[in-house]
Amino acid sequence: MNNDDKFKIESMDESNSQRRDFIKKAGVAVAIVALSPTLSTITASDAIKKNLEKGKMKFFIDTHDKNSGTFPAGITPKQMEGFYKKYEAACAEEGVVSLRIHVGFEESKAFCFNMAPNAKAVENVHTKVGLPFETITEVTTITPADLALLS
Amino acid sequence: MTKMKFFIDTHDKNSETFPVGITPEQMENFYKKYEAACEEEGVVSLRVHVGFKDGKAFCFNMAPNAKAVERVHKKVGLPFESITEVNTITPGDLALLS
Repeated sequence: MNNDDKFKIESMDESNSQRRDFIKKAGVAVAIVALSPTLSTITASDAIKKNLEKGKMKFFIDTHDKNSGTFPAGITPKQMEGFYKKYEAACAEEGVVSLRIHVGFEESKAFCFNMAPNAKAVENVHTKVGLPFETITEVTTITPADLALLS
Repeated sequence: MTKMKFFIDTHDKNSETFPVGITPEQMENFYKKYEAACEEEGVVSLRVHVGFKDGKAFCFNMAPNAKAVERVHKKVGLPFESITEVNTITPGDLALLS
């Protein structure tokens, strides 16, 4: 039973005036719930913005493999979607930008490509969502333009 | 048109699948050969990420199958550690899977 259903059932026995009161309070509660993701997004972008402004963002790839117990074997694409929301929120808190996550569901492996100030920030994100990792490697992207920036 | 899938292959100096000490300049030349081999095998090189310090590399390709990715590596004479078929995890990509 979700909260909306609960509100409906509880409000059935209320008198009209009580019901109006109830709806008003519920409206405020709904507004707060509806607003909170927006608020957290604003805070999140601040952490990321700060790192971007410092100009010290680097690229990292971390790996996960069921053979090392670092991939939740049997996870479905649907469950992964729910997990990704938590992961994105943790990234936002740590000032990490999640660029891409590639998952091999059949082989139970994953590769996360992130932009972060350092490997520790990427590690913190994983600790926050309770997902162990196999390795974190600082990488550069090999295209002629990316390489020109290195030399 | 052949149905394309996504693959990531890995290289690590610890398994002797990464050319230790390669410079960014040498990598640029190598990448040209790699791109030509990809073209011959019908593989699209989307991105190659290299950790020069750790001696590791991750290649992200679009290919009809893992065998085509394997042939590209053979052509340029670079061994690999693993090739994994992957999906990209963003809400839009996941919606296509379910």
